[in-house]
Order: sequence, then structure tokens, then C-alpha cells
Amino acid sequence: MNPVNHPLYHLVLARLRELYREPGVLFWVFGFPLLLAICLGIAFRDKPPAPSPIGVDMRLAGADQLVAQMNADPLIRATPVQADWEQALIRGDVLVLVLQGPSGPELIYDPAREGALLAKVLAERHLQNPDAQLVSVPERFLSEPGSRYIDFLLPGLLGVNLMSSSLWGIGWAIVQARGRKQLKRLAATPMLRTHYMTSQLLARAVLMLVEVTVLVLFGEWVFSIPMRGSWLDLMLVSFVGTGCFAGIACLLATRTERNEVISGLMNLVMLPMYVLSGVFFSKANFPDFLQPIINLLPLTMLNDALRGILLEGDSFWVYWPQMAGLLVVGLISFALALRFFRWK
Amino acid sequence: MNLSHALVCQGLIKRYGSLTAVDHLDLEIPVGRCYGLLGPNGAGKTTTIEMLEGITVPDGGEIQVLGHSWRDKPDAIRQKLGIQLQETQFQGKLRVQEVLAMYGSFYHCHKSVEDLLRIISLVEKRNSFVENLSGGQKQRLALGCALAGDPDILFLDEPTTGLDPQARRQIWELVLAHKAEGKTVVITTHYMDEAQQLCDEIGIMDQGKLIAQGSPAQLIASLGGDHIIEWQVEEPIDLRESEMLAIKSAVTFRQKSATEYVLTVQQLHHALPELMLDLERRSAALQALSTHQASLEDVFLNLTGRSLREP
Repeated sequence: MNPVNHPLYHLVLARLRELYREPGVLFWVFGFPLLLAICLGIAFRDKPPAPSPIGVDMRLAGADQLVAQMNADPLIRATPVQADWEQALIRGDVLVLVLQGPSGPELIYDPAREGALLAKVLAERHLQNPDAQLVSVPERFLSEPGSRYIDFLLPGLLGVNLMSSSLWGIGWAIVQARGRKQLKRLAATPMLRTHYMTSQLLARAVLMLVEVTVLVLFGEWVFSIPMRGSWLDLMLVSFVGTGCFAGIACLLATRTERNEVISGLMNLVMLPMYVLSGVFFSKANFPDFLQPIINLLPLTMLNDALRGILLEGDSFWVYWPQMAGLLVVGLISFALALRFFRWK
Repeated sequence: MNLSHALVCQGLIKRYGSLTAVDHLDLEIPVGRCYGLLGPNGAGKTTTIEMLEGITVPDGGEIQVLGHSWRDKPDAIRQKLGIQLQETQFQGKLRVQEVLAMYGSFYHCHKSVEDLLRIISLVEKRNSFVENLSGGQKQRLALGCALAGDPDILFLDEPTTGLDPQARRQIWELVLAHKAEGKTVVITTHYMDEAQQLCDEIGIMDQGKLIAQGSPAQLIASLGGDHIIEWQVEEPIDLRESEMLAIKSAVTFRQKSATEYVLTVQQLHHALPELMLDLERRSAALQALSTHQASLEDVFLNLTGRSLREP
């Protein structure tokens, strides 16, 4: 059969056309993850520690001199404070206030406030021994590409993106098609049922190639996130992950024709993985007894492999257990979906 | 293949809960004929046609499509059927020719996109998005998809509901052209003019049952008269059936309501003057009077006492 007349070719093309002719869809597929990466990247970018704001009451003996001395310290931003010192503390303009006490300077601060303890220690250093030369211990910041937070984050975001675009893309499309009686119409033709499901997966795989490339290159250019493994391995892992989530999407969309139901089901499946599967913070934060479960979640398996390939330069085969796990989950989901699928 | 009947079904049953949507239905549709299922909404037309199409599984009965049963050869049967559902919204962002090419690809033997575009008169619209088509054009596209596999049997479920007269006429021409190729057509409708225009044979359905069957001419002839006289008076009068049937060439008489009456006659020019005289003798004050040629609507009314288009 001429490949250009194969039903799969037409089904996949129809799916892709529907997507790229709808600009709103393009934003959610490509724009949104990029925007998220930019925002998180900016929030957690490498930056010198901000100086601690310390207030000095002007009634303190030698206040002017103290302010000047503190401001010479790059870790402190000292400001003279008048009578309204309480307000300055409450507003958070200063974290620590130096006041005149009965027997010398006194410090006021809220220990629960983030950064207040650091400010207190810095203030003490200047009050206790104003003339002492500070010993400068050599120091180094952890800013090697590959070991920063943004490096941890990007592979996780990639995994989340593959998961959510597969689930939303396929689940939503099936439910819409069912509501519009398109599934019923297709089922009335000799079209093979497996062709319909396969076309959903293949269309998703084409988008996946673009999504992965854009996100990884973006990370490399903007945040210098290294890509240490091979692109082929990365794409293979992404494809297996996409396949697994495509299967889950078909399974979730097996019966319903209501948008509310499919949204709820997808959130139910995705939310635990968002939290547990090591996207925004390491899965090691969860107690040991949860680890076996966490390690069986599809997104965990995908994220482990993506991180290994991107950051460690591992090969695809290092992650064969994870890949096997994803394939098993995906195939079981597809099979169940095919068995119980409602075409009407 | 030498088949006399494209479709045969016996004792077809479909139940939804306590409702029997289709109740022991028997049908025989010869090859090359256009068969119409006529009936009001909820009569079971769509359920019936969807069982014949293999979309709905019957609760009882036998169906033979082109000599095969749905259980034995579903794929072989589907290759030979063209189906238009009552409502299908195609993907709005696909172009007309893309939809036709996709549907064609499902069939081993299919018409070219060019041919289909010509048949459904959408050559100029080939590059339009589906969402920009008018109602009639969308319906023609749906018909194009049904014709994509060059089907031996074409199923149409209320193909012209909601269309303007010109768009309806275009659909009718398409159906007649397909029939002219010797293909079988099965159509459901609640428009009697549509059934009269297209169908060689009609089955009138009501409450899941086939209550009459025959050609449009036969069904109308079953009324016994070609003309219907309907009238309404201001005050109820006592009209006996025997008195009314004594009017020259009168066939049937029916009281529609307290003040409304219907008389079927063979010769209007004899019956009408006589009726007017009779009413005058009774000094009945006429409020309205009309006559028309008997139609399938009257057949349905006569059989059920209800109108086809009533909810």
C-alpha cells in the first residue's frame, strides 16, 4: 500500500494539523514549559548573597560611626533609624535593630524571620570587636554547571512536560472526539481500532521531538545546563516515557465524554507524581518506606533516566529497569483501553 | 455476487431499560432500491438504522447485510457500507480535501478525492476549513465521507434535518445519483416530502414497530381516496360517520376534535358541493375549510391518529 494512503498517515496528520492550526494549543505545548523554566530559572539563578538589612537607633552612642563601619562590610546594609523603629522591624525594612539598652547596645529581632539570625550574627561581630581585623577564609561558591538547582530542575521539568502534554493532548482529544460523535463515525468505517490509538501516540511522538529539543537547547543557551549524554539516548528515553503516558491517557479517556471527568482523572493521576517524583525537589526528602512506591511511579522512572542522561552522560541502557517499567505500564494501559474503549 | 436483497433482518429487538426502542422488526430491502424509514421522533428509526450499520448491537433478532452477518464478517461488511450519522462534527481545523482523503484511506477500494469533491459539489471549497462551511456544505461533506468507500449500501440518518430547501434539494440529487448507479440506499426521515421524493419503498415506524410498508403510491392508495377535506366549525355539531360516508365518493371520516373533521374522498368535485350543502342544511357556521392531495402524512395520521411532526 502506498504509504501516503495509509490510514495511519492520515490519522496522524489530522491530529498534527489540528494542533498546529490552533495557536492556543501551541502555547500550552511549547510556550508554557519554556515560560515556567524561565521563571524558575530566574528565581533560582546564581546570585551573590544579598546584604542583611540592619537598623541602628540614632540615640545610640556612636551611632553614626557604627553605621559607617557596618556599611563598609559587604554583607551588611545598615540604615539609621529614628523613633519609629518598631515599624521598620514589622515592615521587614530591617531584620535586626541596634538600640541603646541600660548597659550598652541591645539587639531586637524576630528569630523566626528568615535571615534574621544571620543579620544578628553579623551585627554582633561589629558590636563586640569593632576594631578587629576579620580573618578572611578562602571560599568558593557552588556554581558549576550541572550541580546547581536549575540543573536539577530542568530534566524534571522536561519529564513533567512529557507527562502533561501526553495526558492532556491525548486524553482531551479523545474525549472531545467522543463528544462530537467523531469516534462513532470512525468506528463505522473499516478503520482499525489500533490505528486510532497508535496515531495518537505517533502524533505525540512527533511533538515530543520538538518539545525535547527546544527545552534542552533552551536550557543550554540560557542557563548553560549541560547535555552530557547522547541525543539519541535522550530521545529514546523521551519516546518510551511518551508512550507510557500516551497509554495512560487512552486508559483515562476510555469511557467518558465529559471534560470535567477527564480533567479530574488526569489531575488525580498527575498530582502525586508532581510532588513525589523528584521534579522540584529530590525524592530523597520523602521517608524511606515511601521510596519503593515512589520509584515505581512512571514520572520517577522517566525523571531518573532524563537526569542521568542530561547531567551524568549515562547511556540509555543504564536505565533499562526504568524503561522496562515504563513499557509495561504503557502496554497494559493501552491493552486495557482498547478492551474497554467506548466508541459511541 | 448474486444477491436479491441487500439487507434482511428478522425479529430485531433493542431495549433501553424498560423501553423497547425497536420491537420485533422485520425488513427486506432489495438491492438497488431506496428504502425509507419514516416516522416521528422517538419512533426507533435511528436505533434501527444503527443496528443495521453495526454500530448498535441488537438485543435480539438476525441481520444479514449483503449476505453476511455482523458477527461473522464485520470488517468485510464495513468495507461495503457508507454511513452518515445523524450528527457528526468533523474536526474544524481540517480542510475539506483532507477529511475526504482520510476517510478514503480506510477503504481498500475508494473514490479519489477529486471525484468526491465533484460529486458533492465542493470543488471550490476543497481548501476551506470544515468550521467555515455552511450547514448544507457540512452535510454534503458528511455525505462525501459516506461515499468515500464507493459503498454498496448507503445509510443516511435524517440527512436534511435543519437544512434550507435549496440545500435539501442538493442532498436529494446526490442520493438519487448514487441510486442511479444501482446502489442500495437506506434513509430515515420525518419529512414525508423527502420520503416521497427519494424512496421506492417506505416503512412507517411508530413506537418501535413497523406499522405499514409499501411504495409511496401504494401507501397513499391504502387511504382509499386521493383528496382530503378538512374543516372546522364554530359550534360542535353532531356528524355521524354513516351520514358522512353517504357523501358521493367519500372513503373515510374522522373527527379530529370537538369542532374539527376530516373526510377522505376520491372525487373532490363531487364530494365538496355535497358536503357544503349538508353543512348548510345543519346551519353549521364554518370557521375554516381546506382540501389537499393525500400524502404520506395522511397515511400516518390515519394509522396512528397523530401527526408525524408533533413532538
